[in-house]
Formats: sequence, structure tokens, C-alpha cells
Amino acid sequence: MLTFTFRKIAVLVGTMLGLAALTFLITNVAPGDPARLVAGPDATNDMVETIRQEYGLDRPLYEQFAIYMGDLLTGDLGRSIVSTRPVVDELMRYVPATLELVLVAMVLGILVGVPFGMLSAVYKDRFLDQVTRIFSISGVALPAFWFGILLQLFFAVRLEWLPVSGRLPLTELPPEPITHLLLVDSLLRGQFETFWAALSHIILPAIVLSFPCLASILRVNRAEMIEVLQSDHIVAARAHGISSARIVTIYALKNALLPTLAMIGLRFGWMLGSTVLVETVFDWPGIGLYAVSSALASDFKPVVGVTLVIGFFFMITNTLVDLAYAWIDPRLRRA
Amino acid sequence: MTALLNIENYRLDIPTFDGVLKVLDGIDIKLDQGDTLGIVGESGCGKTVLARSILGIGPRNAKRVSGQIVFDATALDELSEAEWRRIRGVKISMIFQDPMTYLNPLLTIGRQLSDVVVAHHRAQGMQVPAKAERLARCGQLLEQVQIADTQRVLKSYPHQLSGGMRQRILIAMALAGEPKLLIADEPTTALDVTIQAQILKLLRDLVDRLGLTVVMISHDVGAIAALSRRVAVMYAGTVVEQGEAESILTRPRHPYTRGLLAALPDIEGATHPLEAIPGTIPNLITPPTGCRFHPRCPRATAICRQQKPETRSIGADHVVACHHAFD
Repeated sequence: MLTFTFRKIAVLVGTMLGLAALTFLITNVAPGDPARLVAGPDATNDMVETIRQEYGLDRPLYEQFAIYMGDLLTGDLGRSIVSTRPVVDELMRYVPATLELVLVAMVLGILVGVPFGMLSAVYKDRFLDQVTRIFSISGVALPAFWFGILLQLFFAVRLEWLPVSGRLPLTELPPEPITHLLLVDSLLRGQFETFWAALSHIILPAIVLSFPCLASILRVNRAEMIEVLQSDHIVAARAHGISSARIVTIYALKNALLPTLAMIGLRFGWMLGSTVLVETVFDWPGIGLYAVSSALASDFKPVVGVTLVIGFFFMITNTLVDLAYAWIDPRLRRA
Repeated sequence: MTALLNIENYRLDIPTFDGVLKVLDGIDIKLDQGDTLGIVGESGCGKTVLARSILGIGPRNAKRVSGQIVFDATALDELSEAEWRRIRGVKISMIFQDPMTYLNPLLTIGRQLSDVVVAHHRAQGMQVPAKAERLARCGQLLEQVQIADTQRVLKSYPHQLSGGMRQRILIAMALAGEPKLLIADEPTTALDVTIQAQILKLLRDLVDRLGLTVVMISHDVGAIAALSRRVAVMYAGTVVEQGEAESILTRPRHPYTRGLLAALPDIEGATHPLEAIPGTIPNLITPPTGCRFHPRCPRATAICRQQKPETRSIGADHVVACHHAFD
């Protein structure tokens, strides 16, 4: 198991370097001259040339690449052209917000998707199964921006149970950062009121973001459970007198979780990359909004930064999924 | 003496997409305490469905049309799921065909075995023993099936063990609840020939030592002969001949039994070519009328097409269901 873990981490590092190289290449073949963009529309050729030298854009590509990789390894992602602030600083502001949103949505998706997928398999084609089927088809089909607005109208405007948008009320000071995740930090600092405020803000966007993910987790887990419940070892467990509850929750669920885990890993990456709609509707200060506005301004450094961050978390999750696979299935441990 | 297991006129249908499978067509089987019965027949003749019906783990959508299975004065078909749990593994248990797929691949042997022990204690309303005690019991169960390295085996996962070893473990699990009746569904089919002999010998020893009542199912007449005092021959959901193994295997009366035995290679006097029974087993959605064997039977006449033959006694413990049984 230990060698397996190390191998997976080595693969993670390798993939990360590959991603870094790829993003470098893409930004270099993308149309537009960054030096001219920085210099502005009225700049003379001399000014553009000066900036080109200043940013090292006149050097050969391999040298630029070496500098870029060197900067990357020391945690320097360059400066945004628009705000002139270091990209790392800006990411530190936006990434935790998105990460918190995605994590809460993921937890929601797992906590609802896995048990209800399991129950739908047990009560296949009965009432509960039909209800979850309708629920999950709508989950995949409803567009996030529409569903989000609907929830806002109902829970925030009509019932006034939850705030419409934002991450915290303007009157509430965020807790002193530890993890930069508001829910975690407010708990760690013992600021329970801030915690409730943050929670009430995150519920609606998290539901909207998690809905399609929850639906696919539910359906995958259901399909797997149905298949596992028909397998020989389940017949044997029944014949040996093991109780139905134990068979479903331990003997079958453990086997069915493997493909479900793969789905969870994929969905996590998908959510990181698709928060922008939800962030727009709920005015959530995350990387989705940041990436889109930077891309529209041809501000490449933040786009590269966001790409690397999403890639990084995506790979981390998938490595964790791989490790969880091996933890669940002893047959994979030697691989 | 009343029989421990009494299957009477048992008829079972399984609805499928293509039509209703008439899987079992009036099965009559009696088995006394301490006796051993081998059920022999081709694949698809309903042996496994019958065996699983005895444990209430048959196909979920199967419908009982008539008859009943009575075990130890309890009508099994009437039981609720909770009542079944006091039977399964404790009074009736089962060994399976393929030890590869009948153990959960993700749980250790120790976990699976001790779960069975716990389930049996719960089923009988006894207090669940402490962990150390359970472990000791598991070790004991493995020793009973002649596994030496019990501690290592308990910590292993199924894929780390050989087929023979896994079959021994399945046997240990089946015996954990000290059942009265053991159903062995093709226990040697998936094993190498040398391992088959070992497993058969082990079963033979256990049956003798524990005084088990056994129903063994196989298409392997040799395996049946090694373990069973009595034999029932099944064809397409019916029992065509039943009685003492000795009598049936040396003097078969039913044409199907004859055909089955003639299709076996004979090591000692290998002079005659092996005879195959012509044709294939019938489709059970539209089974042949009358005697289900008539389309393949060399002795079939008009009456065989029209009338299902009654089961009649032709010896002290030997019945046959055939209009034209051999003398």
C-alpha cells in the first residue's frame, strides 16, 4: 500500500509538470501579442519593445519556458495585467471561496447520492425508485442559472429564509484566516454566528452546483448496487443467514462504491471548472468569475493560474480516489 | 419416522420476457435425517433452482404453482424473511459451485466467517460472543475443514487463496451454524480433478463425523456416487427416477438414466464407444407434452406424448416415472 501511494504521488507530480508545460504552450500559440496588450493601444513600437524585453518575451521559447517553470516552482505566477497585482495573491482570495463551495456541494452530493442510490437499488422500480429517478433526471437536465434563480426567488425573496447572494453579510467580518474556508475558520475560531451566516449563504449555491453531480452519483450507485446485489457472493451471504440490512450496507455497498468513487472524482473536477454560472447567479467571489473576466480581458497570467489551480485540485482528487480504490479493494493494492 | 425434508408435488414457474419458464414440474423428494441424496441431471434441468428453493434464495420472481417444501415439520414456503433467518445457515446451509465468486472479494475471510458466526448467534437469540471468542471459533471452523495455517487464512482476502482453499472456507462457513441439512450445489465442478478428490473426501469425512443430512447436486455421476446413499435423477424439471444409489447406478430403469450412464466413460472396460443422448434439453417455456423426455427417448410411443407418466415403485427403495421403464 505504501509503494502504491508513492507511485500515485509520483504520477501526480509528473502530470502536474505536464499540465504546466501544456498551459505554457497554449498561451504562447494563442493569438494576441501580450507586450502590445500591456503597453496599451497608444504605445509606440519602442515602448512595446521595451516591455517585451522587460517581460522576457524577446528571448527564445525554451528560455522563456525555463523561466516560467522556475517561477512556478517558487510559487510565482506573475502579475495580472489588469490589476497589476500578483496572480498568486488574487488566487488566494478567490480559490478558497470556490473550493469551499465545491466541497460543500460534493459532500451534499455524496451524502444524498450514495444512500439514495443504494435505497433505489433495494426498492428497484418501486415508489422510492421512481421518485429518485425523476429527481435525478431533473438534476441533470435543469440549467444551473435557471434553477439558481428559482431557488433565490423562493427561499430568499418569497420565504426570506436564506440570503440571496454573497458569501457573508456586509456587516459580518470574516474570521481570521487559517484555512481560508469560512465555514472551517469560523468554527476553529469559535465564531458560531459567523459560521451560521456563512452556512446560510452557501446552502443555495451549493445545492445548485451539487444537483447534477448528486444525480449522477445516485444513478451510478444505483446501477452498481443492482448489479452487485445479483452476484454470487450476495446469494451466498443470504444463504449463510447474514441479515438483509448488513448485506446491503456492507456486502454490496462496498463493492458498488468503486465505480461511484470514480464518478465522484470526475464530478469534482467538473464542478471546479463549471462554477462560473453559479458564481454569477449568487455573486460568489470565486475563481469562475475571476477566470472569465481575465480571459475576456486577454489577461493570460490569471488564466494560466486558474488553469493550474483547477488542474492541481482535480489531480489531487483523482489521486485520492485511486488511493481510496486500493483501500477498498485489496486486489488493487499490488498494482 | 417422518422425513427431515419432504418436497411434495412442487411446481415452480419463472416469468421471463419471453414467456413463463415451467422450471419445476411436480417434484417429489423425501429425505430422512442422516441420509444423503444426490440429485443428478444435465445443466438447466432445474437442480440449482430446486436447491435454492429449499433455502428460499431462488429467483425473486419465481412463483410456486403447487406443492410445498416441508423441513423439520415447518412449511418453508410460508416463512417470513425474519423466520427464514432462523433457518438459513443454522438449520439448512449450502455450499456453492464456484468458490471464486461466492466469497466477497473485498472482505477478509476472517470478517466473512465471523459475520456468519455472529448472524447465527443472533438468529438463535444467543448473546454474540466477544471478539477473541469469535476468532477462536473461526479458527476452529477452519481446522474442521483441515486448513492448517488458520491465522494467516483469516487475515487473507479470497484472491490470495487457491480454489481448493476457498472451497474449504465455504464449507466451513456452511458448517458454522451446525446445520441439520447441508445442500451442496456442484461443490466440485469448478475445481481441478485432484482438488475435487480432496474436497469429496473432506465432505465424506464431515458427513460421517457430524451425521449430516445432505442433498448434493451435480451433473457428475462419480461425485454423486462418492457421497450419496440415494440418488434422484432429474430431467427438464421433473424427477424421472429416484432410489438407492446402488440400485439406480447398476440397474437404471428409466431410458434417460440409462442414456446418462451410457454417456460416461468407463475406465476399466473401455471397449464400447460413448453414447450421447440425441437431441438437446427442451425449452422450458413450451415443454414437450406428456413425458418431457419423449422427443429424445428411444422407447417413446403415443402415450408418452399425451400423458405424463406417474411415479411408480419398482423396488424396496426405487421409483421411476416412465410408461416404458426397463425391467
